[in-house]
Amino acid sequence: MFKAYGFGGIPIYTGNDKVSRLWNLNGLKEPNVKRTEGVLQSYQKAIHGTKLAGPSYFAGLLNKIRSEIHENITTNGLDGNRIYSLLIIMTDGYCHDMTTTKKILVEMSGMPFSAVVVGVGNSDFADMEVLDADE
Amino acid sequence: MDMRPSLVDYLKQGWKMDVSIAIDFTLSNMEITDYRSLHRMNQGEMNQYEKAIFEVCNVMMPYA
Repeated sequence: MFKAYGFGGIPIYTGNDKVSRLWNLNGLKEPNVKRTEGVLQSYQKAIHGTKLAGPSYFAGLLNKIRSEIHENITTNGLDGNRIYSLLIIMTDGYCHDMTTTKKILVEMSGMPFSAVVVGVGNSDFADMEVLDADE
Repeated sequence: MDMRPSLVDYLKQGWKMDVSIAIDFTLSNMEITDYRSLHRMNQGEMNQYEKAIFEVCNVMMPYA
């Protein structure tokens, strides 16, 4: 099972008329979809019903995952929590809230969490290079 | 040396993985009707995002 989200567009198909920083790609109350096919189906539904917009903010995504981790720990206890959260961001590479994003990533560095950026297309990935603080 | 446990260490200990996929719907990807769009919809052909979803999710599915 995956959780699938969209960000940075106006998801008209969900009844929205403003830019959303994060919405459930399936248009339902819960973001859960089954298997690769479920992610592809909800993407195809979304792309036909969404107006592409911006800006490209990552903080909303990270805060959502962070609150889920807090919920897991509250439910299961710090020692009982055995859920590792992986966020895979598929993007053309622009990030318009770099300062906030960096701050949240640093704050989350001790959590059972990884963020992975999958670059799509051939545009400028300079922002992503900065976020990848390997060096 | 960084002694913090890695993702693999967590998985070896039997942790479950919660996998979230977030897709970029900003206009810098170009309108879906534009032939340059990364979200372009062509019948019978996967666009750049569909290819990325397909490849990544297939790799992650055993863990997710």
